[in-house]
Amino acid sequence: MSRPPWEGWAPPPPPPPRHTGLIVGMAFLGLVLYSVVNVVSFLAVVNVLTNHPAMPATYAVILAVGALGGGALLLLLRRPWAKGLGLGLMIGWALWSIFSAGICTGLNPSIYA
Amino acid sequence: MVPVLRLWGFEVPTHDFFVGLGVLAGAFMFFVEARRRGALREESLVAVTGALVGGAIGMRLSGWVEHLDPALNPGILDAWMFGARSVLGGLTGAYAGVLIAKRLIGYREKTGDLFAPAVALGMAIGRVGCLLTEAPGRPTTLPWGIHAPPTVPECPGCLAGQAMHPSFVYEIAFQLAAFAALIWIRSRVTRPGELFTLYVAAYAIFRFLVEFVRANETVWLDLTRPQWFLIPGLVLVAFRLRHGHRHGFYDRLLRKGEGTQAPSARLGADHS
Repeated sequence: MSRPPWEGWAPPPPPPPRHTGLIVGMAFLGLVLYSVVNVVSFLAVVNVLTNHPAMPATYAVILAVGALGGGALLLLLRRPWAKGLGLGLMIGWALWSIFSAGICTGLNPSIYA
Repeated sequence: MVPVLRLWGFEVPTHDFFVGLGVLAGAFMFFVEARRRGALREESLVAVTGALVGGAIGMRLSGWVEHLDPALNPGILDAWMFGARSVLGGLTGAYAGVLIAKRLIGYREKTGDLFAPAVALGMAIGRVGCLLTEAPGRPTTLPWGIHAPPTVPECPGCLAGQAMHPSFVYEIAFQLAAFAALIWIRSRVTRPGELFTLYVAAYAIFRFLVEFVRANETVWLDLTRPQWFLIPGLVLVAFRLRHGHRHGFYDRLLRKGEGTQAPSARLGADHS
């Protein structure tokens, strides 16, 4: 009786482990983290808006760069926790932008007035 | 018109509240559909992130390309800060965002079918905010025409006290019907990505037609900006549907060739 042709070969490598639960959990944490930063910094910025007309634009850019740029950098780390956190920061920025139409993202300074 | 809602003692802008509610409902529907299709993976979360970020950017920046003459458009910062909240801009941005996100992580699977029912449901809810705050439509003598107060911005019919088309009611009805139809046909359209193609095609056609009763400004040949935006899209959609029809992607849906296999299925069998 002949041996099967695959006998003696190394078994195929196992599939890479998935970290979906960790990534989703960290994404939720990133969403909460961004929301806290957004609200706290909004309250801080409102107090100085009247003295600094350029503040809303600067504030919007800082938030966008922090969330999108920071999120992208975290994704580049290629660690599950960093990937989830980065995605969460980006989702947080997008949701606050869409939900509030700018009221808490620095996008509509006329509302603050 | 209800510009502000009072919820638990807080004043909430009506439009934004329903947009937010629509996004939440869409996210929930995406989760349900992803679970049903066994696609609850990190790649799906990346696609959702791309859709949200792209949609948020697209809805803001659509005002940046409002006019063909660049001199008439606001600067990018003004468009960003005060830009219109365009649904077409948001959807286009979301589509581009998903493509970019998938390209970045090297994910090649189709994800549009997960989004199609979610977008329809989210749009149906989001449009309630438009109905309660924006100019309803063009004047009509039809018995279901509605009135709106003269304080509604950019609404000549409101100033004149005329009855107007409830164009957002039409769109809410369309989106709910589309949502029900997508749920009904999702098991009959098995080719990945085709459910999304059918929804996009249906919405593009509907949106082009409903613009004839919307209160949007006409810019050339009595067509509005969204209609001019949609014309090349409709041509692309027509070619795409023709391609799908010729390759048998919709045979099960159209009940064609029952008992026989679609050409694509036969092709797959030939290779096996």
